[in-house]
Amino acid sequence: MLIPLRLSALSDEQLMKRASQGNERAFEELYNRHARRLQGFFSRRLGNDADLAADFMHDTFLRLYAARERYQGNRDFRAWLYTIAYNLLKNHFRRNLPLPASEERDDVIPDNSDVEVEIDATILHDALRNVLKSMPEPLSLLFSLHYEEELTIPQIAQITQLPEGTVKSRLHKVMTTIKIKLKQYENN
Amino acid sequence: MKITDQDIIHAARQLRDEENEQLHVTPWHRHHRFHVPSWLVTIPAAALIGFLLGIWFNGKTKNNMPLTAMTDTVYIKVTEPSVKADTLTHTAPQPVFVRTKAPKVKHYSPHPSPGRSIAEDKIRYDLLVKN
Repeated sequence: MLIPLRLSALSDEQLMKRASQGNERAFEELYNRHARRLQGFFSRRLGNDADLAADFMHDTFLRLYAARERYQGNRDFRAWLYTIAYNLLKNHFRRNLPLPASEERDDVIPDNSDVEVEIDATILHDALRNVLKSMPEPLSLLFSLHYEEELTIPQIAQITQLPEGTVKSRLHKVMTTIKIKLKQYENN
Repeated sequence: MKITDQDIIHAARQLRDEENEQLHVTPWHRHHRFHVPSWLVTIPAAALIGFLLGIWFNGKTKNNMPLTAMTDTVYIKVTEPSVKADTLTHTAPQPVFVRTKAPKVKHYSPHPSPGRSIAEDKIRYDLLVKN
C-alpha cells in the first residue's frame, strides 16, 4: 500500500527518472496521470475518431516506454510526451491530409486584436466546437496545445521547434481568428 | 454577452473535460504486457486437457477389461505332478478295507431314491476307512 501512495506524491519528472531506472510501477503511474488527457487531445485532433485516438495514445506511450532509458532528469516530461504526440500527428497529417505549412497560413490570419463578439452564453460551447473543427489544423493544434492541454509557451516552442516569440504571436492570431469565426453566431 | 479571450478559454476547457470524461482508456498493463493470441493458448490447453482425460479414462476402463484384452498373449504355466518310479512300487499303506475288498458293484434301486444322489455330495465314500 505504501508504494502507490508514494508514487502518486512524486512529480512527473521524478516518476520518469524512476521509470528510466526500470521501475515499471512509476511508468504506470505516469500513464494513469496522462493517458486520458492525451487520448482526448488526439481525439479532438483526429476528428473525434475514438479508436484512432486510442491507437495514437497507445503508440505515444509505447515510444516513451521504449525511450525511457534515454530520459535525462532535467527534461520537462510533459513537453517530451507532447513532442512525441505532436510528431505522430504531424506524420499522420503529412500522409493523409497534405496541408500547407503553417508559415503560409500566417498571411491569411488577420492581425486585429480588437475583435468584439457578442454571443449568447448558451450557444458559446456549440459555436466554439464548430469553430475549432473548422479551423486549419496547424492553428487548431496550437490552440489545443496551449489552451486545452495547458502547455506553456516555452513548452510549445520546444515541441514545435519554433521560437517562443513566433509561438506567442501565432497564439494571438489564433484567438483573433476564433473570434472572427464566432461572429457568424452573433445573431443566431 | 460580450465574449472575451477568457470566455473562449474557459469554454474550450469545459468542452475538453466533457470529451475526456467520455473516453474509454485502456489500462497500461493491457497495452504493455505481451499479448498472446488466444488460439496459441487454447490449442495447447485443449491438447493437455485431452491428454490428461485420456490417461484418466484409459486407467478407469483397463481395470474392467479381461486379461486377454490387456496383453497380447497369456502364458499359463501348468506344473504337472511328476510321477516317480519308486512311488509306483512302494505304495503307501492302505487301509485294510481298501486292500482286501474289491469295490462293490453299485446297485441301483429300480425305484428312484427320494433323497439326494451321493454323487452330489462329492465325497469319496470309497476311501472311507472302517474302524
